[in-house]
Amino acid sequence: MAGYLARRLTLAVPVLLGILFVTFALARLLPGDPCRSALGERATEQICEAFNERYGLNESIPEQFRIYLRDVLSGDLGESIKFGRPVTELMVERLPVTVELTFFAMLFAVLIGIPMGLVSAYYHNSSVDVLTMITANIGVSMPVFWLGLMLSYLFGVAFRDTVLWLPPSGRLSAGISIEPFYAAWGMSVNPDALTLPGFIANINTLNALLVQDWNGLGDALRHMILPAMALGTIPMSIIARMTRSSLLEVLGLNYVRTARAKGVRETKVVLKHAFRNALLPVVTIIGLSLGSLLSGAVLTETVFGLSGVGRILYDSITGRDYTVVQGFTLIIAVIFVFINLVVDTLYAYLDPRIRLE
Amino acid sequence: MVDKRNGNSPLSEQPLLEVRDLRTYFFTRRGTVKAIDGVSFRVNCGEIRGVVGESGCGKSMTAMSILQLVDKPGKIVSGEILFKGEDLVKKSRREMSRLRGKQISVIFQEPRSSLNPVFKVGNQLREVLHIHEELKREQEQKKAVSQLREVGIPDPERRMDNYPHEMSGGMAQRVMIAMGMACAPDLLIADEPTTALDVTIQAQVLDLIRSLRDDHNMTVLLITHDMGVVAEMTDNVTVMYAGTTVEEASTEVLFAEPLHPYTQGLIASIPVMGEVKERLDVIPGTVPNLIDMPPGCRFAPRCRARIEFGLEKCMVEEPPMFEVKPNHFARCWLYEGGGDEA
Repeated sequence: MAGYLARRLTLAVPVLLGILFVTFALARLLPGDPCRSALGERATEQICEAFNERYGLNESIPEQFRIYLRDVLSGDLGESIKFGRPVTELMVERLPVTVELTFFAMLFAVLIGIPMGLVSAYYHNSSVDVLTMITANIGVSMPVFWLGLMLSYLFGVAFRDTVLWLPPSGRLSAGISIEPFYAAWGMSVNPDALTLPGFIANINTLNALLVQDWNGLGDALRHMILPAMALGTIPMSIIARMTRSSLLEVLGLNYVRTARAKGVRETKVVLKHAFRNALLPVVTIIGLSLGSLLSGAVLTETVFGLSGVGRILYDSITGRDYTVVQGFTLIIAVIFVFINLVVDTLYAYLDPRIRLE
Repeated sequence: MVDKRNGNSPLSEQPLLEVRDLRTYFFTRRGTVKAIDGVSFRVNCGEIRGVVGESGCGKSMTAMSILQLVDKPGKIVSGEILFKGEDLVKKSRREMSRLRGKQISVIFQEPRSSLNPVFKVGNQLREVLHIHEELKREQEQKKAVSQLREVGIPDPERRMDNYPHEMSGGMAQRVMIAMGMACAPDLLIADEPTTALDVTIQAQVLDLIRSLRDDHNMTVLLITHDMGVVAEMTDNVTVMYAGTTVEEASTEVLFAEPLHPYTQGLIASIPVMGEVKERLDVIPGTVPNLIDMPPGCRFAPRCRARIEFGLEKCMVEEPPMFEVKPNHFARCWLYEGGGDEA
């Protein structure tokens, strides 16, 4: 198992180098002169030369790549043209929002989707099965922005002044702030630099948990419910359908028959013998959805007024803020690689046959 | 000493298993598939009873029916399966799961795919003990190891930690047998236990089953399509064709004097060593579609004897089992006058 992990980690290195190369190349391949797209059509030759000099654009391409590599590896992703702030600073601010949202959306999707699939397969072809699968099909075909709007209307407006009311936008209610855990623990951390404590402190729920601010935790969680439901519904439906079909397939296999013949009770046959085998494709789906949620939560973030990765990527692409696009593309790609690594490790844990390869 | 195995036990002795007029149908969109349609046989204590027939004749489904493991859309529509005098068809799911693996256990055709790929074989073996016997962990482990040793697995302590994919087919089948034997069942159903194994391993596995039977006075229901295995292993045989039993006799008698034209065809189709033949004997035609059976005898369309003896009843009316000679039954109109209806 340790050897398998080491092999996988080694394999991730060339992938990461490839990602660095592609993000670099993308920025060079974008049409137009970087100087004029940054400073405007009427920038003079002298100004552009100074600009190129300043940003290292008059160096040869390989030299530029070398500098880029050096800067990225030392944690410098450049400065946003639009915000005039380092990209790393924007990441500490935006990434935790999306990570938190993705986590809760996935939690919702897994906690509801897998049991739905299990029940559906166990009561195969019954009315319960039909009902569950109709729900899943509706869930998968509902547009995220529409579902988001409906949820915020229902819980934020229609249920106003009842116990069911939930905040329809934002991350925390007005007047509530949670002390960063590093401050509470007496650590000195630069809140703007891309550091792990700074990153963690911006995940409100985790931070509240660390400083044991239960009031703040409750408020942060209440703000997460609606966006997580909106974002998690599609993955939930896919997970439910995948769990069901995968489990049905496994339930027809010989070793399940053996388990029954040994006298294992039916619930245990399903939950122990079949489920673990059926989990493999489900884990794949979860990994894939995680990756796409991280980069593609634009609509949900917009509907619920959260400023996360999706929002800033959209704004930067339309505003031609190339350093931001480049930096966030890189970090999302790195997270993708990491998620794949986790998925592969889970495979090996679930199925001993994979450890051999 | 009375040899219990020859099957000629006195009528007063209760058989361990008695299947009476079992019918298992599958209700599909294309029609009702009568996978088993009138199977009856008895298995006496301590014998090895063979059930033989072509693929698709309902042998395996008979085993699954006995275990009450017929999958949807299949259903046992009528008949009785008396195990130690109690009807298994009437048992609840919970009662059946207490019985399976403890009193009746089964080994299957494909040993490697019959073991769960994600659990160590040791844990799968211990699970049987865990379900049916109240043992402490160490005792469980000890007993599992000794089971593996008994089925001839070298270095059993180490093998406990193997996964199924780390074992050969023969080894995996030994593990399956160890699992089947773990709780010392009264009846072991072996469903084509050697079909997926190569010939030398086949012989070893069959020897193992026989010696376990001798050591533990266990009863074995051996399902196979291989007449060679039948001849070598069994005390008594039930021949099945298209979902029904067509002949029943002790193995010696069956091979010496097969009565049913189908059995005669089966035995004639075995190649004999040293004898040169232009072609092997085959039974012409194929097994009828289980959805729409011919109205009379199921074998009639393929039967040479019917034409030779000019029997017309065969195509119209299904024959019952006739007891042609003591303890030798055949479902064929040829013997209508020659014996008593069973």
